[in-house]
Amino acid sequence: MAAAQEVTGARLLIGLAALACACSAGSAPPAGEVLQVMEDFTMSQTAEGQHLWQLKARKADISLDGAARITEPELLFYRKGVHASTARARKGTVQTGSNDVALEEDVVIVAHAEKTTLHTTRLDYSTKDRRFRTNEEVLIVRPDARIKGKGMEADEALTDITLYKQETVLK
Amino acid sequence: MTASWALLLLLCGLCSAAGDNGSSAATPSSTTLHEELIGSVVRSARWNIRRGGGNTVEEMTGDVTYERQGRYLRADSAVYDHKSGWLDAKGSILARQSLDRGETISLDGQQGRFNMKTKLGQLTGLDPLDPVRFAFAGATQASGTARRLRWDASAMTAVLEEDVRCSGPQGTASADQALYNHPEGSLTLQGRRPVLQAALPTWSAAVQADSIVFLKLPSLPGTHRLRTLAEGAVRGWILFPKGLKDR
Repeated sequence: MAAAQEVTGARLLIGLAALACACSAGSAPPAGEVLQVMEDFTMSQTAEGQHLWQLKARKADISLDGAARITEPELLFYRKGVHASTARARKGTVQTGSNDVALEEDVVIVAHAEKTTLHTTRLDYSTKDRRFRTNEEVLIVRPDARIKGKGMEADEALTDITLYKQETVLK
Repeated sequence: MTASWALLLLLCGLCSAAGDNGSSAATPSSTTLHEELIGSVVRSARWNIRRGGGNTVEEMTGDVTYERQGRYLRADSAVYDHKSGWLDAKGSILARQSLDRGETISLDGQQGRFNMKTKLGQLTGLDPLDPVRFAFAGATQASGTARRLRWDASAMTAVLEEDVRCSGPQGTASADQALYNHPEGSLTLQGRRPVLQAALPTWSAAVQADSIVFLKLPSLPGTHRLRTLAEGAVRGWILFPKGLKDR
């Protein structure tokens, strides 16, 4: 499946400190140093003309080590062009090569069609197999149940979830 | 046979609990399945839910347990198909229901299934050497075995099948089938000429017939009154200890 990627930033700010460091040393800035700061960062991936996912973040700090630190990320996932779920977190990381995303702190996924909300503290999203994974504690809330567990793997629309050490309380 | 009777009398209630069907005698008929399940806790080492094609399938593996107000169920694995309504459980299945006055009724087998829509269920053992086992523990103890248990939670009926054996402090019974009908308050032993042996303090007896029927009679709370009918080519004996017949 051919996928296209688009990255936009409403305002592109150059990391002056990093540049100054690089210039003064006469070489590339060290890995991990912020090279660019992008505000209202948006990144999306499409296939065959349809959205696969779209990442929005208030800010993205892009460094030379191939990662972008994102602030208040929001990931919108689509299935057959229809918005299937939304993932939010306080912060995260995007690997610029693979586009894999790690979400951290107060991670919440809302799957609208499944009426399911997922809470955890850290969640990794792999664009290769389009699945979420975490080893952390997870809480899944459905209209009829609260499901706790530790360790999880799920697809982006939360239609296929595997949870470990699960405890379901029917309500 | 009082304890054994009580065991089977309560079997349907246990089966209802096992199936989460909300049809037990103590449950108001207006209670929905969802209301009946409120507060239930289900645990397993691994849980997978797959939704698609208009169906949802939940699969649990690794020490699957269910608990709610005196009910306890466990199995090695369980699969619930929402569309068909079938809940299939495998491996070391145990169902336990706590009753009033600390009594407990339990049931165990190797493969079980219950349909949440039709309210039909079945529990089987692994083989003749590992049958379905049921037990009653309270002031008296009673237990039994059978190759298979089938029940209809809507009709409140249950059938123990193949090599049914039941024993308690007051006697033993064996038959090819034991048909329990909760609304009628009856238990019928039939097939392969069922045998009933009773050993009470004041008398003992053994009866073999084409069928042996126990009918529950009105009684005071906490007591059991039964009428026992043996029908068809009845053979047997009753023994009164010496001196008792002169009283």
